[in-house]
Amino acid sequence: MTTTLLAIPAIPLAVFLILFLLRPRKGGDWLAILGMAVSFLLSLRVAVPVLSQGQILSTPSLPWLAFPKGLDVPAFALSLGIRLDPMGTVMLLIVTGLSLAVLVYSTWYLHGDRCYTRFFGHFSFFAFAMMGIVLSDNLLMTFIFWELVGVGSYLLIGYWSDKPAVADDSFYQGMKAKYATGILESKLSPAHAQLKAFVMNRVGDFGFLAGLSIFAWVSLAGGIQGNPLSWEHLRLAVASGAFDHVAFAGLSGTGLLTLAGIFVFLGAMGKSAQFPLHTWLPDAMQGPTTASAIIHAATMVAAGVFLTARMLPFLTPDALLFVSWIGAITAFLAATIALVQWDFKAVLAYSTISQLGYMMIGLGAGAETGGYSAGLSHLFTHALFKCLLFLGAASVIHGCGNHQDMNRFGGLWKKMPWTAATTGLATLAICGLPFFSSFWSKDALIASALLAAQGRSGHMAAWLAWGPWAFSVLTAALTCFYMTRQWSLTFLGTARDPEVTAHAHDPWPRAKVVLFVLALFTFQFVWTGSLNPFGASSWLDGALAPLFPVDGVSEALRHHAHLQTMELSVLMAFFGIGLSLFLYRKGPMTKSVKPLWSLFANLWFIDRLWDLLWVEGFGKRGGRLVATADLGSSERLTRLETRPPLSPSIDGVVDGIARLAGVLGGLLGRLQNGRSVAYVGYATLILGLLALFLVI
Amino acid sequence: MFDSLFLSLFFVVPLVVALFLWLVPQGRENWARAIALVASFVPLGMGAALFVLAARAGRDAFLLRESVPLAPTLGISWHLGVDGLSATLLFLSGIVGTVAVLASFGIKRKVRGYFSLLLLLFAGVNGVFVALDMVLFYVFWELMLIPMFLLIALWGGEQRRYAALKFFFYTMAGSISLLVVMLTLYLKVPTQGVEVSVTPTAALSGLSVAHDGSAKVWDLPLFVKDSAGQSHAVAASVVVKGGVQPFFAQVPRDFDLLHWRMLWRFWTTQEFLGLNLAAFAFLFFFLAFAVKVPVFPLHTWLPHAHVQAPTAVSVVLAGILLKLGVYGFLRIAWPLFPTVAAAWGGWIALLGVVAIIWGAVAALGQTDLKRLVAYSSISHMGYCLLGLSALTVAGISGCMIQMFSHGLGASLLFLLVGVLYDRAHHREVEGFGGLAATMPAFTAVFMLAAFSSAGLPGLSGFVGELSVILGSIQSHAGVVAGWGPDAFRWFGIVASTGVILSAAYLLWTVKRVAFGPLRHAEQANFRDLTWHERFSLYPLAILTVLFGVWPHPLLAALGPWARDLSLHVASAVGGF
Repeated sequence: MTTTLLAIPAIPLAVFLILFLLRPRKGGDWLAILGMAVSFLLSLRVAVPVLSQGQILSTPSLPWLAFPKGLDVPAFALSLGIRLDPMGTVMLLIVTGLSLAVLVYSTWYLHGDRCYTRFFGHFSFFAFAMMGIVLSDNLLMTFIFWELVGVGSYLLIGYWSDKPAVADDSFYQGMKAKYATGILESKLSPAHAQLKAFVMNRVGDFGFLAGLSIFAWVSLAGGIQGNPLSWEHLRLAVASGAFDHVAFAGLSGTGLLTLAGIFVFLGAMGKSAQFPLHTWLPDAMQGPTTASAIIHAATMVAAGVFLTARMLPFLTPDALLFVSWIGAITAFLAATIALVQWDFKAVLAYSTISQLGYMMIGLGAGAETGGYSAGLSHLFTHALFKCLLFLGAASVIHGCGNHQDMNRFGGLWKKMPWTAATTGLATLAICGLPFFSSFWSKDALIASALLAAQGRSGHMAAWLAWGPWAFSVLTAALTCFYMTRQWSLTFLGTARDPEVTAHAHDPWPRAKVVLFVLALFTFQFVWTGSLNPFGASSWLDGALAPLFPVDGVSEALRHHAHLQTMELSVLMAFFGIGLSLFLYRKGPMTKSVKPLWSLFANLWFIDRLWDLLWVEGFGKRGGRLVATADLGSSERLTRLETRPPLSPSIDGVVDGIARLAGVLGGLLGRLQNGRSVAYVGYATLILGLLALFLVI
Repeated sequence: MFDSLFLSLFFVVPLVVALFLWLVPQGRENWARAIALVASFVPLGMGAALFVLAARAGRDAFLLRESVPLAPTLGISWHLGVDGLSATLLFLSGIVGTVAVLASFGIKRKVRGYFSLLLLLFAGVNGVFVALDMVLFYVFWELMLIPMFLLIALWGGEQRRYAALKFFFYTMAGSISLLVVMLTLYLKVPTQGVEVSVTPTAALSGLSVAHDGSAKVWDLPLFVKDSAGQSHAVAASVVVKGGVQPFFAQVPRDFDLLHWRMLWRFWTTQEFLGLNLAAFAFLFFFLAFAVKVPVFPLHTWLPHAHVQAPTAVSVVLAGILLKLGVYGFLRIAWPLFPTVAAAWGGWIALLGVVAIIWGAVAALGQTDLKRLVAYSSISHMGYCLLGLSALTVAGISGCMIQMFSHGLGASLLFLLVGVLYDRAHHREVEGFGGLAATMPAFTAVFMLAAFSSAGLPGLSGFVGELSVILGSIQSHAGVVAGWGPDAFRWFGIVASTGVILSAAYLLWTVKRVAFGPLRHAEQANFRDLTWHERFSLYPLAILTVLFGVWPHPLLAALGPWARDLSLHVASAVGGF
């Protein structure tokens, strides 16, 4: 089994190395597909014992960094090893399965592209890194692959890195909606997007790194031997009260655990595009749409949710409240932005952010309320329907000659029935209508948020306790509204711009097969194994349950919450869908609610604020300021041959001291003969004599 | 005799070849190049072999060490030794040396003189790494200063005179303080020597056996005292078995660094100019070495020197010369004056953290590629200072690993800037754009170097930074320094923000140089890496990946050393 476990990530890595080092002209695509297919089959093979018997598979840990014992810190080894539990197994199946699907789809979508083979190499690297996160048996290994996933996404977003900024892109300028606003067009380009994605992720990763270091410290201080960061040892350390015996920043015990947990969660906020670190994800749509399908829908962004789920046993109630609130704000904010987007892909991008926020709400509700399994279930169902939506988007955009403005679409139903039908199903799924997958997972989420709010309301202000739940209900309606808007504007009605849609067509048969297979997973019965939409249990619940017993909340209470939620959310769904169909029955709306519209269309100005404070302010101004304070003005730097002008800077002070010394030296007169060696000789002599004199 | 002869080769070979190069006839510049290359392979091979041995031995001991009296009346000896730390840095010096020679093949003016000075420089560097006698150390320290000054002043850019002078005065100031403190320490030891007690651990680590079976520690007879106060020699076998008596040794007045380390308690009892001698000496050593690191705010010579130096000299400067400062901390300042190092640890760590942030933000504001990389060096060397003053095993190991990986990473970056300069004859970031299409191999290595420098796991840059941050957050050094237990945890957290900033300035640079549309039409026909550029870049890139994926050898060679220093300081201050 060890070999199998190792082979699953090793195969895509080998494919990447072959494609990167040997650069074959042909066949790279099928090599990658073959590799991924083998990985997928091996994943299926290891999934059987894990999911059916609840077995946990693992390989021995390999010490990666082993530090000898110090005075008060025991010897410890940071190691790498594989640990596959039910949650990881489902994720592994999704990663390998969807990767396979997207690779096959890409052979159609990218055929004839100038750097076609490179996509498959970089994609394989990304998949390798993602599997590393899923299979990791400790927090540091997760961090290592976490960063590699960042590189994978960097490479894939920058697939067309030689493209200019959209402001200089005549096609984009001709294609965009007239009222387009909110995007910093002078900056947005694949090269910018890949940089932004990586750096924004790093903002979160700083927290991850600091958090894991705190965990390592406390775990070692608590007497843990071996790898202080393995899941088992972390659990042991927290359970044994290691946090009670140390203090930092005035915090100890639960307080410190909260701090460490939130630090690590910062990492998850970066990867899973949570407010306020979400701004990289919409820009990342500059990459190929199929890359978006896997990275920005199904796997990379899911890594943050996955990590939060892994860390759930270590998140204190306060940290969980933080998680829910971040999720709630993100879900609502992104949904409002999605309401007014003109760009077909942008709607999906913001919808993804919003759905990730949902998952965080669920996880933040805690394990006792069922939020853990609900959050993860939604992660899984969302991965599949959002991947389908993105692949559908690829089909639409490809069919419409790279146009992305929904205002120019319309009536595509007749030209691309496969795409319309499958994305239609996915739209119904994301709306959470009965019989569709999200009806099961999202309702479970909202129900757990309800239970959590009921549980919390005794301890804190009502708005604080009930906020996440309220946002989650509100966002359900918004989701239905914008998704219906997108689908109806694109596929229903008549062709509004025949030039754009004239040549639209469904993709190649192999891509259709991919769409069809993914569409199957939009149905609830695939996930719950039951045709009854109200059967709340699932085969997944069974697989996830043993890890977290749900004895905190009584069955009756849970059942009640589920029923309440179901009524409410179906109501919300019909309201959202109905309103959307009504407002957009004749194509794009001409009237808008002005102040709100511009707030949403300008992305709540968050992107601009980041740009102003972080890029322009800190990065450019701050950088120049510090550079000047260090070496002096640029004038000073270009006139170094002669006596450079002094300017208020560290280097200027140094030169000033030197010049002062020169003046004093001049006063000493005759000794000065202009040769630096002589000066040094004098100085050495004098100081040496001085030392000699003083000592003797 | 073997040890001292073998170790002498590290500097004798470059030294002899450097002199021999002047005999190469005019017009046969290629001979000079070839000879220099071959000569640079010798220290590389020896360094690599020693590094492998150190990593396999995995303990804190000298692999080779020998002391031959040179001027017994003055207490100067030909004392050379190699342990895990020296072996690792000799290996790095070998790599950087070979790469620098390769990267200098494009030098057209005064070729013989250039290579001669380059080899002379490496003779000095390698000498410092093997010297265990303060006088030898000082001589080698001075030996590398002159060639470096001339290399910048003669083969440098337009403002080379200013930069070279600045470099010269800064390092000369360092040398003077080194000289002063070295003489002071020597003269403070009474002529009859000082009797010191030796802990069993220290006795074991320096143990050697005399002809009659009695024990010696660092070549000094070890003795025990009976109740009457009479001294008796002690058998080596007793020491190995763990004798119960306190051991003593009489440390004579000499320049032996290992003896000076045994005197650490003695230094703290002496006064100099009304100051505690240990504090005074530590301060002077610190200043002497801090100039080289360079420690904020003594760093401003570095950007000038880098910008004006030819590519290969920049590589040497960043790749190995900066490490000498930290080596001085590790070999001399910290072990000799552990109590002072611990007491001032808070301030020193603060300087490190300030350097990390200041260097990174200053790098964001640079328009000259070389200056940008120079500031990234300042930022990265800040981690060394933080890890070292954290005094945990992880922190000190991290400091040393960071030195090694920065040597690889900075060399790569400077070579890459050199590649661009060769083609465009300028180094302005804004003067490039969209080179990825015309120079794919260059872009790939550039990205690798940038990611490694930005601390990407899987590349060597991450290992050092991670260890330093872990070591800092675990550290109790703040208590001893009087800064409270939280100080180093905060330092660790603030240092973690370096991962944001380094990614920002490095990847932003990659973007501006390599990505986007081609910005300058004439750059469309830039040549991708030539074979000899590949020859110097690829080995560095491979090592970066190798030690990033498998850092175990580094830690095996350096971990025991870090542990020894950590315990030495801890026992000196009475535990943390």
